[in-house]
Amino acid sequence: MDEKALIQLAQDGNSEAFRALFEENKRRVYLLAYRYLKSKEDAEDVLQETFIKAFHSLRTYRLEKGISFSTWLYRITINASIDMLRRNNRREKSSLEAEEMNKIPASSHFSNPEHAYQSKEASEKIHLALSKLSPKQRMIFTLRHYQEFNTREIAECMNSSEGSIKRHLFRAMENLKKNLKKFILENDYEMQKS
Amino acid sequence: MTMKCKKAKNLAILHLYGELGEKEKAEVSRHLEECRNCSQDFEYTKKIFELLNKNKPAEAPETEWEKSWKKIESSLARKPFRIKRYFISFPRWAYGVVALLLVFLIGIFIGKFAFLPARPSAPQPRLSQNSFQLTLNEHLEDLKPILLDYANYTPSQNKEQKILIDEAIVRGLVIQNILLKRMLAEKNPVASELLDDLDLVLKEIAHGQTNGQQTPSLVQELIRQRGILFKMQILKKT
Repeated sequence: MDEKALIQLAQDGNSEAFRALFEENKRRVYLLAYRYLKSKEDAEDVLQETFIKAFHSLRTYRLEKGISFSTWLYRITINASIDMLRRNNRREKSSLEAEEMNKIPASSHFSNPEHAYQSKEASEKIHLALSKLSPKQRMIFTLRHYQEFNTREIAECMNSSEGSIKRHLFRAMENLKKNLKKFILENDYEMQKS
Repeated sequence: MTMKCKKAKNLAILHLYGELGEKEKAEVSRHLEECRNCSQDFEYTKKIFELLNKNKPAEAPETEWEKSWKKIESSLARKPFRIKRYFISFPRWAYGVVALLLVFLIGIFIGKFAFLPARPSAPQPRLSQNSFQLTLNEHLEDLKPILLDYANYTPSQNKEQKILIDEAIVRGLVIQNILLKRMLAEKNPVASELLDDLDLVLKEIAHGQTNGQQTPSLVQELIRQRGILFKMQILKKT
């Protein structure tokens, strides 16, 4: 059954059809939330929140509006993730938990311990620099840098203009450059040849 | 003329993301060749990109999809709580108007109490302890003959006799008594109590003088009950 038919069935309250839509989209929702929040538990919460919200507001989704279902779902995911980050910031909870920190040197090219240590330190610094961005800047950076969306796609997902997205991206990059400058200078960071 | 540095810096970021067209790419390259600062900044931006790319976050850990679905499924049956349903919805501009009105009213309120000069309160008569005692004594002296008239009043054959006093004098005494009472409210509780009693008696006298239906025995009873003459004597001594 194609997506359009599934959406129409789900709009009529068919939970089987909604389950099929969940199966189709769950990974991308979870992945975005995880890359943004860097916490498995938070990403799972966002995944659930996104699909619950999607089900209850499915009637407002119109196929003829020209927005794909995945883009519409991304919008909900983005808002839920930003809300989650704001809540976490209020609780002053570090989203990069020890469990995730230990998994960071997963990049297999750091085979020796020195490189692994450098990688962990770099990841910590990057996380710290990212945490200093506003939730919106951080989301735009995540979508651009880690999800590899172009600015037009980001604008569509965030229901914003491309110009506004670019301005936020430039500011995010400027902030990252500023916040990582010390680390780069101290470590005389060079392009590591793997 | 080449583009401005700020624009070049921004476009350089898009260049690194591969989002520039050929024309813009050429413009940026030309600017970077000509501007040393921008060229250095571009090199630094490239280092940042390198650092970020080498340290991409770990892949998302596996999750229990079925567990997540069960939680979602259990929530699907419940209708979300919608606050809007319980309120009449107004157009957006109405909220704006109400907000403006509130700001205006709060402004007036703040302006009234914070910025306008406070109204001068009625000047409180200030008297030194001695001059006050003198004033009180004078007042009591003025009252004494009238009060004695009433205290010594004897009705003939169970019939009320009239005691004639100038109405204006009684009124004057009532006002004088009130003024003294205000001055004394906190300073001298004993005198204040006496002036309260006198207030009652004087008003009763004034009432009788005005409507012609005098009750001297009632006034006499009041004077006796409240020990007014005794209190006057004590206060005069102190």
